[in-house]
Amino acid sequence: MSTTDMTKFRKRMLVVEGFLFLLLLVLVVKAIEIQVVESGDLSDRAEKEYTGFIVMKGKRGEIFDRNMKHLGTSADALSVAADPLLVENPRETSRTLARLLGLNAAELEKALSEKTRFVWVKKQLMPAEAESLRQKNIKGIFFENDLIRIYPGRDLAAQVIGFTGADGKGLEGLEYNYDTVLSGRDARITITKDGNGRLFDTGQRLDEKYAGDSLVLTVDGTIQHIAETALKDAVKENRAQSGMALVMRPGTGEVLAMAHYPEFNPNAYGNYGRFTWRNRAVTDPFEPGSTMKVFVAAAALENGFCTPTSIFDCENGAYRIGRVTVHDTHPYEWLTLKDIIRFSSNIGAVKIAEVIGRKNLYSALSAFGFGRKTEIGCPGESGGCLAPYSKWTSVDTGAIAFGQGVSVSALQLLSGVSAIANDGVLMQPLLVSGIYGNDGKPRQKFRPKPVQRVVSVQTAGKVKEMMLSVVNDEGTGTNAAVDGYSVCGKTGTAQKVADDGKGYSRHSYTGLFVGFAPLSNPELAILVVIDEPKPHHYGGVVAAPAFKKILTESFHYLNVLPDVERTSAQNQLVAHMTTKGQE
Amino acid sequence: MIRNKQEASRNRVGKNRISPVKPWRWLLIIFILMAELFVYTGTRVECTNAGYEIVRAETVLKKNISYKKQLTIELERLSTPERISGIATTRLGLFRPGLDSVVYLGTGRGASESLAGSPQAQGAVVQP
Repeated sequence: MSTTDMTKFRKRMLVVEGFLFLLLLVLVVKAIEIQVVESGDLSDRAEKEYTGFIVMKGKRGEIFDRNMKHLGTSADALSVAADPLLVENPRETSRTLARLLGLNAAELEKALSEKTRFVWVKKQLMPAEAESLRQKNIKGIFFENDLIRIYPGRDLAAQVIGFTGADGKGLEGLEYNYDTVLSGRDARITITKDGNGRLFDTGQRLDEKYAGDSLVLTVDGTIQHIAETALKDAVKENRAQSGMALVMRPGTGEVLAMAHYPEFNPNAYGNYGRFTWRNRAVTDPFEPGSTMKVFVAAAALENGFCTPTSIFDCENGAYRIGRVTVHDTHPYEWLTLKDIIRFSSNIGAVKIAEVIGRKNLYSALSAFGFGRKTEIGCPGESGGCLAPYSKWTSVDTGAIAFGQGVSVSALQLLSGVSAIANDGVLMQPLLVSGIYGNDGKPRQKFRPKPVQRVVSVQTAGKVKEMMLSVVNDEGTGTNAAVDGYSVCGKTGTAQKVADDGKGYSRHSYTGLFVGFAPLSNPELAILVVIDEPKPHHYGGVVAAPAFKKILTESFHYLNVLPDVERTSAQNQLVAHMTTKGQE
Repeated sequence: MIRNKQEASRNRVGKNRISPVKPWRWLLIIFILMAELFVYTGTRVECTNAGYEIVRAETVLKKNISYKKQLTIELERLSTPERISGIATTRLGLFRPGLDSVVYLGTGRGASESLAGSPQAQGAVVQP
């Protein structure tokens, strides 16, 4: 190559190098613009294209009975919505939807004809409904993931558990009271999508970690069923308005059953009256009638005013206090304290109250928990009504002694009797035994808690003996006697307040029976309340048989051995009641 | 003088001439870079595919968890005391044993023991 060619070549090289340098410079400038100047905007645009947000609804916590059986749980469900602008034939579509989902076709057609982009068709479909609708593949109809609250036991302990609304918020019972505990968290999470819009996120959509905490109750599903069945039979047999049956462990205060009749199904609570939703055992106070006499007797014994053999003149069936005359069902002349309880003498109870005085009576009743809430954790709890003794007249003092002029909740009454069964120690009623996180670990555990000693062991023992005589020694509660067991109890028959609020009705009564067994080591305390039974209204006739049924079946279920000699040993079939180790 | 210049020019040309080993070096570097690029791309593709597999597996897992829950609920609904006792009394003709129908052979556990033996009392773990 000649020198001239070399020079030309170098010039051309310079031009090319210069061009390439300029090109590189442009690229560098552009790179700086992209990476530095516009980086924020471009990052945002890219993020918008490849990422998005979804709101995860954490599942509501579960409610278990003491045997870890579900009483309330949540499951995935689908809700169906429509885009009316995409629906081709609103009339045809609404007819199909109405047929498949059980809706009103005319209302649906109206909704689907609106000029809007979103209309809810039906929330929380049953799986079968969702599947049949999915197969139809209707244009403009789409599904949304949702959660549905299910109560597998249907009406089992329904008033205790309560229910949630369509929005998943607790509306009644424990669902309402523990709503903040049970509610799942709503989490807004970022998801990554690819160019085709497919989700690309791992480990974020498993919603278990957002689930609410779970409740474990002290309720035993089987005993609850036993109580509900016996109560239902009793209410129907006695043509009563309603009823309640409670079962408690006296030693711990654990509520094993809280049954109500009429029942309701929380899966379809809208089909039942509001009256059935309420946990009346804690919300509705009533006059306890003669069941109050055991507390009067306990007060008299504890304060040393009398002994079980102290005698009282029962005035042959009629006793005047001021302008009011108190009557006994059967006339008695002289009765011991024990017999006053056994035969349920109103006049005897009035005489005892006169002996101990209104202040001591008030103190004793307050100590048993009457007039204040038990703090069991159910919504709308009533503390009952026990007016201060300074406002009591002599008539009031006498009336309160046989259970009029004072109102108690069923839970308070059973709790008070359980204190006698528990050798005089009042326990706080326990319904929720623990709160567990969604990881299965306990967040909070509730232990049995003694409130206070109400009466001495000796006094409790004497009252128990009196209550035993009610059931066994031809007292008023013989219908509650269970062969082989020493059953203690007390009947109660309370006149209801007249509809016009003036005085007491002559036709409406509440029949009660409250008791426990066995005498030496009470395993269960049971209360049965039958509201407005007909034609009989005595607690010993209408409530005691239900008590007996609940006690018998519960003892079979719990393998509680008889503690006294059985009188009828005929026609025995063999059944196995062995310990686990012997099986 | 001229010969010296020509010789010097020849020497310069000789020095500028690319040695026969150098192109292989460049090729090797390019090959390594290309290989790295392919390995990186392949790994990314594998990662992405694995990610899709995980998402698919998670979706299946979620469906299965949901299905298991439905089955659990169904099982509990079918095993409620109300249904079992209904079947026992109506379909099977059984009846509840009365007191005279039970003979106590062994030592009963007692309510305290029976209730204390419940899963909850034994510290069972809640399975949400």
